Amino acid sequence: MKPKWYVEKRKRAQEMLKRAKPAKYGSDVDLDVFNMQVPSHGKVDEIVELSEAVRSASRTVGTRDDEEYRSGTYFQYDNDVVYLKYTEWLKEHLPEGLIVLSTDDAVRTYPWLEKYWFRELPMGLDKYTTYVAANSVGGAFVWVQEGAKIDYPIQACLFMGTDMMAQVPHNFIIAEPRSRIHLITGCTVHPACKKAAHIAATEIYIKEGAEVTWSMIHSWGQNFHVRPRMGAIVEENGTLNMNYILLTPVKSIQMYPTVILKGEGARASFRNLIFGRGKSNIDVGSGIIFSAEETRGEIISRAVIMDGSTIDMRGLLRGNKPNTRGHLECRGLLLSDKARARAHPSLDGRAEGTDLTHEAAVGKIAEEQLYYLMTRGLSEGDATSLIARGFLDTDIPGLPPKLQAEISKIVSMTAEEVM
Amino acid sequence: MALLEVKDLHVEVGGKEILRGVNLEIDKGEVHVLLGPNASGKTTLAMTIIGMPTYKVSKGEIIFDGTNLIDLSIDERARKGIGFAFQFPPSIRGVKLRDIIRLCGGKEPWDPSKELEERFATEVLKKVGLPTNFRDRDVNVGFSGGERKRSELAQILAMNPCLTILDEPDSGVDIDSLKLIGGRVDSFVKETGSSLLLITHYRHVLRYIEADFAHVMCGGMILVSGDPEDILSKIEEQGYCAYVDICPPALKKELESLMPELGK
Repeated sequence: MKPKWYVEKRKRAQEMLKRAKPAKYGSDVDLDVFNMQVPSHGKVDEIVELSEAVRSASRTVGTRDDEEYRSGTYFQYDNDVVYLKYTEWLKEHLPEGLIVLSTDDAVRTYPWLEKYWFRELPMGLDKYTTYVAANSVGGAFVWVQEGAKIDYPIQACLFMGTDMMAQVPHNFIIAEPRSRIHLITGCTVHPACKKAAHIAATEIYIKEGAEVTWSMIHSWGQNFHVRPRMGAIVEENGTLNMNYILLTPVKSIQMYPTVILKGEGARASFRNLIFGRGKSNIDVGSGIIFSAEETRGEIISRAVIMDGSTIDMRGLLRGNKPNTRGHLECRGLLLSDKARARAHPSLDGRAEGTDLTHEAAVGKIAEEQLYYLMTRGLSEGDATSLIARGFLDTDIPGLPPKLQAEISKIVSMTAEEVM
Repeated sequence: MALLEVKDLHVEVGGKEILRGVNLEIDKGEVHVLLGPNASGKTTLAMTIIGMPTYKVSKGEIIFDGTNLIDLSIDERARKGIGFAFQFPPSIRGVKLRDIIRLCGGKEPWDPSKELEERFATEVLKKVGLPTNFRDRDVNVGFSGGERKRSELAQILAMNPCLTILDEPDSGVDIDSLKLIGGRVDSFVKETGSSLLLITHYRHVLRYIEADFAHVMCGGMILVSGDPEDILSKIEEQGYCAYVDICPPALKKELESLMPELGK
């Protein structure tokens, strides 16, 4: 039985959806053509019971089927949570530290979830957010207990395998005071699934002194529409480090995750690493609202744009309070004559004593850099690849070295594959 | 047969002729110093030998180890054994010095899972007096003048070329760097038998590098070649004006307009 508040909020969202207008950015996706009713995939006891095609696709986005160096796994296949377990490591070290559920189960288990439900991500934000509020199925609910420092990452895989489906998860990350967690989310598709939509909502609540690093790795197909929505709030001295990596071609993706630094001393950093391949239409932004003194934030976006891809890189820093500092950097490297890259940095200072800066650069590889490496014996192709890989090589703050190495490897494997 | 033969080389940049008939021969193991005032064509000659596409050869040949280089790309020339240290190397963000040094030595970029592999770059850096942490630095990003020169030299040492071309390794460096770079180049040349073409303005570096021949370039031509001691002494006493009388008349006129002191 779903609680009354949930049923009512959902009903309200369904009403709102009827009047919903297209979103401000990105092409308008006709959501009516996608199905939410899809065949069930049941459950597995062990992750290795999933087919090799599923597991090998999920490995490319960082989901380890050996579950080594992980605290737990949430695996959603289409709309079913087929696998959800904590690892032995977690059971041994912090058995009480972490609760992971399907959001649908969390709704039934925790009545208090009502006060978080679409609080920092208004369900009327745009039609996709409303669509999730009206229709969500599954999504990972990750709740880290006070003081628990979970140093092995928790992994979540959102996997799609049915043509013309809409996957509509609603994720939560709630980090209680002084806790710490690393989350790695991989979103990908079965090689046989050719066209679908992924419309997701994620709410992140980081309480006093807590630290969340969330790495999201996407690998889609050329006919996928992707619209993730995210709202986050960080309280006093809390930290959010968010890393987004797009590896493969996509029909269209548009996202603009935004975080509010609400408590003094709160920090946020965004890293976006994008491969624009095939005929991808990419519109990725990040926003930080500095709503308390002594808050700091940084957004760094790097995109390598190839083939006939287009990217819009957006960024917003809004300084509502004095003694705040933010920096925004967008860099696009064009590797094809047909590729397009646009940067739209936006700084909005609303208080004396806010210090907001940005740099943006879009262009081809500088010839002098290319020739320099060629004098060292590298072919033009190898030199291009080395420069592009270096361009994407940016340290991700807050990540343990081992997870950083895993993610760097995923990025460099894609770089090698395409260049 | 000489290792490098430059024959009647004419080179244009952006439609303007910069080199007008340069002849130069360098044998195996020889050290040549190329002197000349600013804008005389020294760097143009080096850039043309290594194959920079903006330097168009309108006439002449560059024979290296029996092959005409004119139609070869930059990297093909490098792989034949020509190493070049830039006067102003570009900065490349995200490309680590250790990876370039390894690639110069014909190895793959460093794989962090193979700990031992990392030594190669460390040892080369030690030879040029750069601290170990430079292997993890982005190449030339935030390097001082002296650090750039050392990093260039480290890459040359890793490449181990048959012909080394150094473009003003002594400009903008302090005396300690000069001594170290000079000494390292000299021992490299002696140990490996690499030929060297050294472009410079100053004789100081020649305290550390033993040269066999010197050439004076002016207005895109080599005016005189000979014993380095004799030539350097003459330049030091009289400046490059010492050679103005041996200029062809047409060139002399242009030189006078280029450098008014020549006309005095």
